Amino acid sequence: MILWWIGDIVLIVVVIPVVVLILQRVLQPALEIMHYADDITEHVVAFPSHLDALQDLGTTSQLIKEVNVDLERYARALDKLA
Amino acid sequence: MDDPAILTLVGVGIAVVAIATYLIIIAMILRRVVNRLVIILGGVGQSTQRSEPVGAVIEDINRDLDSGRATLEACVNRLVQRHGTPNGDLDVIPTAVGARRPMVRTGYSAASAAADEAISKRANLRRGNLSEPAVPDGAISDPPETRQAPSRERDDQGGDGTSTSGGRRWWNR
Repeated sequence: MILWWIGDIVLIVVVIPVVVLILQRVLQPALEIMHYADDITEHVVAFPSHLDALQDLGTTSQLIKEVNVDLERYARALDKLA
Repeated sequence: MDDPAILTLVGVGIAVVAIATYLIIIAMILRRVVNRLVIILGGVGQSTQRSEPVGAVIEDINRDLDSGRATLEACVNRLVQRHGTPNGDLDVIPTAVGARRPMVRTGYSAASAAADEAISKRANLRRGNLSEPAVPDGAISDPPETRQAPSRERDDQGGDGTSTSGGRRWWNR
């Protein structure tokens, strides 16, 4: 009977706090991961809007091609004039 | 039932409830993290898809710009070969940003320099630098006291700014 009491005291004083401590140490990183995931999600959702300007690169390329054509015409005209 | 048995049951019950509570909380957190990761994966995939052709387009743009620069350079060279240079001298002006080699300007005379200066001045005005600096860069102006010297003291000196007595400058008195 005395051993049982001792066992009970050990269970309440040692085992349960250790279990809670271990679970707390598992829970803490999980919570941090959740906060990081929330933060990354917030930024990722806003990120594609910054890529909208990339669609204009095609226009830029096309305009530069047109400028090149005009530049060649200008150079030829300058050759004729000079 | 004995008292120790009840205490054991209570202790084990507390431990089980604690473990179950923590495990449930961790499971909920992991589920939320998985949902977030799915969203992140979708966003990253979308960004990758949208930015995929950028490299090729930029290479295309660079090639076109290089071609335009070569066209202009060839035109200038042809003109120089036909007409020569006014002074026959050959000045190298600083390399433009992004240029692969220094630009060679022939016949960079004083007139060309003046024209360049006028162009840069006009560009400054266009940018909003409406006021020209009162003192050109590098020029050291005299102290203000030297410009507004009291006439009484100036009369006491020999005209060259030095005092007749003591050998000290009059503005240091």
